[in-house]
Amino acid sequence: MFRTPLRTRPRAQIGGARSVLPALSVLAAALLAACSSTNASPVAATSSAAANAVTASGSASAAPSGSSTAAASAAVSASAAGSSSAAVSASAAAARGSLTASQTTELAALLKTAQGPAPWAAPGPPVDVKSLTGKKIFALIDLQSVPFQTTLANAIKAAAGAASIQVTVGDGGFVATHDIQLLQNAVHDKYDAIILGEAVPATVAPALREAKAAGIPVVSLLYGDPGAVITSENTALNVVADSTYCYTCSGAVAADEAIYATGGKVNAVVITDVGTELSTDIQKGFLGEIAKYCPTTCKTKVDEVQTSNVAQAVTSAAQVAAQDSSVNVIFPGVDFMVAYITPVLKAANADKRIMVLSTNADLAPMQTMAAGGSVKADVGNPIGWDAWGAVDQAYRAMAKMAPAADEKPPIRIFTPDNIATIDLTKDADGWYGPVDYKSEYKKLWGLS
Amino acid sequence: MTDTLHVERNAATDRPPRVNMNALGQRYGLVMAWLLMIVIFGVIEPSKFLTLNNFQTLFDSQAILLMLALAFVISLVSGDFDLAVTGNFSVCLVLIGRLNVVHHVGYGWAILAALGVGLVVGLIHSFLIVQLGLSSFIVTLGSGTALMGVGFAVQAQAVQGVSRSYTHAISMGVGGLQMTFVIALVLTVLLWYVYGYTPLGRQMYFVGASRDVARLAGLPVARLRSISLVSTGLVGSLTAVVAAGYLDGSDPNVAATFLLPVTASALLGATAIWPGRANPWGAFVATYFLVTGYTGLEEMGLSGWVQQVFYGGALVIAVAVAKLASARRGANATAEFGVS
Repeated sequence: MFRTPLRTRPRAQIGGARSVLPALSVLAAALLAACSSTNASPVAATSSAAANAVTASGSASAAPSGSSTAAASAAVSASAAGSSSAAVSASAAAARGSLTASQTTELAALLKTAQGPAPWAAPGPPVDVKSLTGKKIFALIDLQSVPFQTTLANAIKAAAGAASIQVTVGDGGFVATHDIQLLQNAVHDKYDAIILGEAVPATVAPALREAKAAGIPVVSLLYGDPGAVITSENTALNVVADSTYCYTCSGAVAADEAIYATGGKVNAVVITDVGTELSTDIQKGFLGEIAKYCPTTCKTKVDEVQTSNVAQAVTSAAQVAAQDSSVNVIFPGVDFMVAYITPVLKAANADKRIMVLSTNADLAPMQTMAAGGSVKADVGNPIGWDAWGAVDQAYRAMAKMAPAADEKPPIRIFTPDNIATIDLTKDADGWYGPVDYKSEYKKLWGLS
Repeated sequence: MTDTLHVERNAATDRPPRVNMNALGQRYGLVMAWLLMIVIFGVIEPSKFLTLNNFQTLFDSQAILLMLALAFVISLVSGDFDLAVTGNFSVCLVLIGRLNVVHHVGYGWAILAALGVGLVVGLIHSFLIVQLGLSSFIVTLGSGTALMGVGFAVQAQAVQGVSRSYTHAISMGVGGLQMTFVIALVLTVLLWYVYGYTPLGRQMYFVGASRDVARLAGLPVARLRSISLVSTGLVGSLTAVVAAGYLDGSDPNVAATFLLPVTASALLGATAIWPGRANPWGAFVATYFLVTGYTGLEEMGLSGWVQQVFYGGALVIAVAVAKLASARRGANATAEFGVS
């Protein structure tokens, strides 16, 4: 129904099953460390730092875990990005592991593009927002106490404010009856457009039917892949447009990284939050790439978890994966689950063997990556861009224009190769490159 | 419900009945707080809050929450906790969606299937809690989680398109309000009648007050608790039947966030109308008191953590006040009749 993975992200409490096993594993690891001076198989052999193994940026893996983000970045110089390219070029012509030379080249090129800064592409023709003066937008963004949701709400307010369009952002707390009530009030208060943040239209159908009767267009924000929400059922509920990014592509890029890093010998545990469109899309993307590049040499096991007990379920899945010495990848579809995984891997001394990849590029997993932890890739998207895109769609709908087929918000994969090129202490919008999407949207709207 | 003992005592002493302001305050304090809240929000945001549409929407949209709170009240009355009320609701809701929308089974049969599931859930709870003597809190906490999981197994994705005639019937207007609210209101009245004016209802309160005393008094405690738990299951499934029509579909995630509002409403309702005991009109007032607060805060722009604090705080206060009210009634009875 709702973007449960995202809304549960701030529950940073690492609960879950506190079995005896992790404690014993820690004790065993400590004893082994005391007896041995070398650790397990180096990350370089199993991560995209396989490319780094050829270059000096192997130091990315060796960054001291206690260091600050800035120090970690400094430890890996700007040559990391260059060396990644060099490493990619150097190995492009040769097959990697089970991959053929052409597969290797193809994946290297895909990853190089995916690691690069995000480009701007206008979603559609310009919109004359000055003609919309006096109109108002209602946006339903639940759980605004959560940073992710706060970012969405603030971005919507900023986008509307840029055009001096009145906007009200409501919060139903993800309680269906509250959401319906807020939307019905918006209809009664004669708003001109509704932005539905991460909600499944069917679950607020009573309110959307009223919106349709009142001729109020509904724009979906972050439902699933672009266009996925535009079905006949949702069109009947007046959902006319969406603003979202390609979740399938996110999963696919993460899989590309895993396949490239392991040379086509991925043995992955895929953890998916069931019941949400975006999780289904991410999983589909990941498994699709595995089937494409290494159907016989890669293995995957899908663990479906429910948001209501994600702490326990994800911790349990990580424990099982950690005990299986053949597993080299864990892919939780959305990175709020990483918080439950990395401690388990560390306790089981599997953090060097298993690379953790995910999507969403939340701050905590990115910091783990920058510090040299077991997170080796995170595919992110600037959510502020998605929110401005939703407002753009609302403007188009209010101006009786055709909706944009795709607002084209980008994705970018962050790995130890390029994490040093971004400043994690700054706003996440700046992680995606120099493109100022806000200025671009303002130009599109005739405001500059 | 009248304070029979108090009136009889006054009759015995030939003094005219006195109005006990303290008791009135306890019984209607929440109602007065609700009205006060309406006044306050009406003064702060008159154009948004004090509109007919706002109140119609408020009453209609929370009918499902009210029905679930009433289901929880039924178990509370006889002294048990049925925390599986939302899990039961979830699995019944998705079952209707699966049968009627996906497999095109007639909605009549889908409704019967859902009610059947509610009945079975109630019977299982009755067996585990009454026959085996397990803690209702723990059993239903576990079964509620399990039922949520079963819901996902039945139908993981939201579906839409319940039989058109059924959704029209559920959504039709009655005196400016929707049928969903009317159904919830009828359920409230029915439970009020049963608990206030029938031997069955009175006996359930006895059992809830003290099982040992009820047993010594010759009441069939086990049977009464079983009836209570089965009724909770049935009302939970009935709520799912209504919700399927109201939402025109089903979604296994809908119920995930209902448990707190439902328990808050039922427990806060124990401070009103019949203070110290869970009761249907109290749950009615509490449900709409909480939603009015939530709505008012929202219309003032105070969303997010403020709303969560309001809900959680109301629940804590509810439990504290209900405990105090209960203790006070016991102390009053001791002072008046010299019994402990």
